[in-house]
Amino acid sequence: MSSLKETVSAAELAGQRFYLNVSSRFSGLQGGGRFGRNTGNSLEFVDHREYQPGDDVRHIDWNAMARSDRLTVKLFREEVSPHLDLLVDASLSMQLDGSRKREALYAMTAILRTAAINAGYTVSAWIVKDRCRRVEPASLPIHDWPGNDCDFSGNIGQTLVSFPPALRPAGVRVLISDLFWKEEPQAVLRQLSNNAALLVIVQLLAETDILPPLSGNVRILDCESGEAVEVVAEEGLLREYQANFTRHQEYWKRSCTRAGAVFTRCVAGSFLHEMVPEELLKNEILMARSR
Amino acid sequence: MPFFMSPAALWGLLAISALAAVYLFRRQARDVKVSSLMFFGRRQTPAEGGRRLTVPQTPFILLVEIAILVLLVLAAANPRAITGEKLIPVILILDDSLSMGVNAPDSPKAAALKYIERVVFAAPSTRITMIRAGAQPEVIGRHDMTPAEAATMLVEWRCHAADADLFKALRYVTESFASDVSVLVFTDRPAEKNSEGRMQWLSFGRPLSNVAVTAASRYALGGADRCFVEFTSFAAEPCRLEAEILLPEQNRLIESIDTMLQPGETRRVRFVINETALAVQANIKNDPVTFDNVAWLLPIRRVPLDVAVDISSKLLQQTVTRAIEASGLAKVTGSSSQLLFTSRQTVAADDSLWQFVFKVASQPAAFSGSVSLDKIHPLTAGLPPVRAAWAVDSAVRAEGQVLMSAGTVPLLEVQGRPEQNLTAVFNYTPEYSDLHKSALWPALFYNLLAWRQQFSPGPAAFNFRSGSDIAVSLPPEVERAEILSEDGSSVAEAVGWRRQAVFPGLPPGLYQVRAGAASWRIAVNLCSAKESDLRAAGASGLPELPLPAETMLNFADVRWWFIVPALLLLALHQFLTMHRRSADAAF
Repeated sequence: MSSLKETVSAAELAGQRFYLNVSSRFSGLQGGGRFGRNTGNSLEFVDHREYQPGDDVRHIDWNAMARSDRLTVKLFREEVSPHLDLLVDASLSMQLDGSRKREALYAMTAILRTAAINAGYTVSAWIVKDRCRRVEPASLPIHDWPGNDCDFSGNIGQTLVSFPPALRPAGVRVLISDLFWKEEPQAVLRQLSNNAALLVIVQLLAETDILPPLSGNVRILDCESGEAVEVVAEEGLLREYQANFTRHQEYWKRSCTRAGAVFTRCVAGSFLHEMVPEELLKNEILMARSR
Repeated sequence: MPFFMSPAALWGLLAISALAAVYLFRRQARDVKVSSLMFFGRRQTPAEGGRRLTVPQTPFILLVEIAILVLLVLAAANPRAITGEKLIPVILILDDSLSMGVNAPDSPKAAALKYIERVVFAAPSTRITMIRAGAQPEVIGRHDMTPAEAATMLVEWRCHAADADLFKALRYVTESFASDVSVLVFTDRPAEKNSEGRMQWLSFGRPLSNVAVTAASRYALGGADRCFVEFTSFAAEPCRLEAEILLPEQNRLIESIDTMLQPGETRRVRFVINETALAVQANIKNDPVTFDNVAWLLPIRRVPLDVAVDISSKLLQQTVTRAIEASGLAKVTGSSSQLLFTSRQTVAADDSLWQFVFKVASQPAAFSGSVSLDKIHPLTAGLPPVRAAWAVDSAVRAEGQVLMSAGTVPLLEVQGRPEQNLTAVFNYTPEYSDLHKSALWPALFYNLLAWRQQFSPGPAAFNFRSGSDIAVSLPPEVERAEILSEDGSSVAEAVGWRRQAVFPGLPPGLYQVRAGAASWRIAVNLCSAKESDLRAAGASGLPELPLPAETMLNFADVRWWFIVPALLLLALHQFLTMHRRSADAAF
C-alpha cells in the first residue's frame, strides 16, 4: 500500500506538468465555465476573418463590410464546461505477479486526474469490476479509493457492456485496461463512446504481457481464471503468442478508429520510470503546461 | 523362455530408475503466471465450463524409452532360447592292438565289450562314433550311430594291429569333432593321460609275464639269405627261454635256444640259410601267452625281371647290360614284355611294357654343371650328386614329368603311368660323357629295376608286420585279389585300383594271396615290444555312468529377439520426438 501511495504521489506531482486538452467537440454546445482553445459563442471577441460559406451570418461585421466592401465575420472565443470520466479496470490481470501493472494503473489515473483538473475539468472515477462503481468523491486520494484492489476474476468487457456506468454526456472518457478479455471491442466502444466528446482507450501492459518469460517446460497459469496448461516453451510457441497478441491489439486499434476513439498503449515499467504518458502526449490528449 | 548367459547385465535395468528420475526432474514444470491464456493458441474449453487444468501425464515417449532400455539390457544379458534337444555325442576310441585280445576269453577286449554293452549302449539318447585306434585311426561304420547300429559294428573291432596309437586317435577326435563330445578310450594300457573334461580313459586287463619274439627279418645277400630273430623277456622275474628256429618244410632245426633271461633282457640270433626258397619259423615253446610266440620269415626273393636291351651304341649297350646284371633284379633276354632299353624311337608297347629310351644326339652339347634332381621320385630317390660330363641333345623338349634337368634341357623324364606302359626318356650321348663311369649309373638302374619290380604281379613284400597294410600288384586283366588263411578260408578281399589291391592289417600268421590264377604266400608277424610288454597292463576304476544321463539341450542365440524390436522402437521414438516438436510449434 505504501508503495502505491508513493507511486500515486509521484504521479500526481508528475501530472502537474500536463493539462488535459480541451476538445473542439465541445464547441456548439451550451456555454460553460471555461474558455476553450477554439472560437465559439462567448461574448469575448478574438479576431476578424473573411467570410466563408457556412459561417453564421449573425457574426458578419457589417461595419467592416461598409469600410472595405468585403464580407468579414467576427470571431469569439468558445466557452466550454469539460468533464472527464476515468474508468479503471480492476481485474486480477491488472495485478499480475511480478509486474507493476497496478501501480502503473493508478499512476496513470493520478496523472490524468491531475491533468484534467489543471485544464478545468470536472472528474469522475469508476472502478470497473463486476459492476462499474463510482468513486465518491473522485478527489479522494487514490490509494484510499474504496475497492481499488484489482481482484476481479471476471470479464471486464462484459461488465462494461451489460452494466455500463452512467457517464456524463459530452464528456471525455478514458478507459485504462489491459483489454485482455474476449468481449468484442465494438460493443464496448459503442457503449462508451455514446454521447461522448472523446473516448480514449489506454492499454496498460506489463513487459511480460508483451513477451512472456517462458523457456523450457513450464506450466502457464491464467491469473484470472486459474486455468493451467503445461507446455514446452519453444521459439514456435512464443512466435505464436506474439502473433496472437499483435492481432488482438491491431483489432482494438481498428475498432477504435472506426468508433472515433483514440487508442494508446502504455508499458507499466517504462511508464513508471519516467512518469510520462508518451502516447497520450503524441495524440495531444495531454498537453505540456508552459512554465 | 530364454536363459541369460550374462545375467549380471540385468543390473542395467537399474538404469530405468535413472531414466525415470531424469524424466521426473525434467518434467517438473515451472509455474509462470500470465495475464491471460487467450494468446496461447487455440485451446479447448471444457463443455461444463469452469477451471481447466491440464494435468501432466506420463508421456508415451517415456514408456517407449523404458521399453527400449529393457530390450537392450535383455539383449546385453546374452539370452539363449532352447530350440530343441540333441543326442549326446559319444566317441569310443578302441585300442585295436593285439594285446587287447590276450588271455581270451578273459581278455581286456572282452571286459571292455561287456562294459560298453552295460554302460554305453544302455545310456539313453547317445549317438556313437567308434574309432579303431591302430597305427592310423579309422572310423568303424559311420559317424553318429545309434547304440543298436554301433553294437552290430563292434565286430569290426578285431584287435589285429601291431601298435595302437591312441594319441593319434585323440588328435583326430580333437581336430574333427566338436568340443562337446564325450570321449571314452578303451585300452589295456594304464592311463597315460588324466581324464579331463569329457575324456575318460578306461583301462581293462591285468599284468602278465611274457616272453616274445620282438624282431624277425630276412634279407638277400648274394646266393644266401641272412636272417635275424630277437627274443625278449617281459617277465617281472628271471625266466627260462625255450625256443627253436627251424625250416618247417624240411622239418630241419636251425637253432635251439634254452637259456635264462633277466627281466627286459633280449636274446638275438643271427644266421644264414642257403635255402632261399624255404620259409623259416621262430617259435617259443614255454610261454603261456601265445599271441607273440611265433614268427615266420618267408622267402623274399622275387622272380627276376625279363629285360631286353636294344641299343645301337655299343658302348651304351655294354654299360647298360653291366648295370642290369649288377643289380641282381633282372636278367637280360632277347625280348621282354616287362622292360625294354632302347635307343630307337618310342614304339607302341604292350599294356605292361616299360621302355627306357636313350636320346642320343648327333651333335651333342656337353656340360658339367649342376643338375636339378627330383629326390622324391622312386626312379631318382637316393641318387648321389652328378659329378660327371654329360653330353645331351639340347633340342629335346619335355613332354612328361621331368626328373633330372640342366637348365631348360630335360635329362631324364617319364611319360605314362607306372601300372601301364611307362616310358622313361634319358637324354644321354655316351661317346662324349662319362656319367656311365660314375656311381650314379648303377644306382639309377637299380632304382629303375626295383621300381619296375614293384609293379610286377605279387605282394609288395612277403613278410609284414601285423597291422600294416598289405599291397598286392595285380596281374593284367585281374581286378580283384583275395587273402586266404592257412586252412583255405577267405580272410579278406579287395578290388584293385590302378592294378593294385590293398588289404588292411591282418593278425599274425601265414596267409595266401590269390589274384586270378596267381598266388603268393605272405607272413604277418607281430614283432612289437610295446604290444608284448604286458607288465604294466591293468584295470582302472571304471565309472558307472561316464555319460550324462539326460539329453543335451540346443540353445540358440536370441539376442536379435530384443535388438530388432529395440531398433523399431528407436525409430518410433525418433518419429514421436519429431512429431512432438512440430506439435509444440503449432500450439
